[in-house]
Amino acid sequence: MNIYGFLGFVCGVAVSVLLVWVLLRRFNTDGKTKTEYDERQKVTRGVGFMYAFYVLAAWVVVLIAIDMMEVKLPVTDTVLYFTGIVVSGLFLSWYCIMHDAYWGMNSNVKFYTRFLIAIGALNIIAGIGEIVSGDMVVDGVLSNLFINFEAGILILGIGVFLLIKKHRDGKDSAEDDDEVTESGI
Amino acid sequence: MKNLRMKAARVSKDLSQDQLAKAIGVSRQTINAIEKGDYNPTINLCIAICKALDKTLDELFWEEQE
Repeated sequence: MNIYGFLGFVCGVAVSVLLVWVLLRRFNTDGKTKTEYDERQKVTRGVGFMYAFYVLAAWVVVLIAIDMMEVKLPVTDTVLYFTGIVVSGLFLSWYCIMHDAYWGMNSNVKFYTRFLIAIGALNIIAGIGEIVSGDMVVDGVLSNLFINFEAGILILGIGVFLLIKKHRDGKDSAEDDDEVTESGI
Repeated sequence: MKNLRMKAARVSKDLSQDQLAKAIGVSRQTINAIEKGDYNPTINLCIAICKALDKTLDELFWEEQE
């Protein structure tokens, strides 16, 4: 890499860090970069991370087994590893969403949701474009371009989980109202 | 076990779950989970709830032995 390439790389990293910092501040209503969770949410998220770790570990064990059996899958290694992250990420999201530990105390839900929709749509559209153009599969092997599509699936999955949770919460609140009446409070 | 005493104390103070949650700095879902008996709060949170509802720990969280 020459000096110009290096400078370009450094500038790229600096812009990315700045962008992430700005986005993190927008993700929270109080302008902080750190999302605050209450004690129950922290415990729940901890359990979620533990299960997600088990899922990722199981995925790696499966990959090792496939490697030991010398089975050649029509997928690049990068896609295989990234799929593990997507699967464990989906599991973590599912657990946190269903146990009310996904949104923090200071989360800017509206902005975050819009951001997710935009990024998810971008990735899925890019993935579909690559499928249509025939770049997704090269010499019978699913290429690294599939990662975009997978990221889109992860975000889409989070969106679906949030919708399921919203539907469930609607039912639960109706049940709670009945309970208050029944207990005579 | 459901904490109906806490729920009664909250309703008698005319507070919604959301208002109580904001008063003590937790999420509404956490108050809901405590009232439903799905979550055992730490002593610090119990004290914060008691202060917000003008009750003692005994009144809200102590279970009498039969």
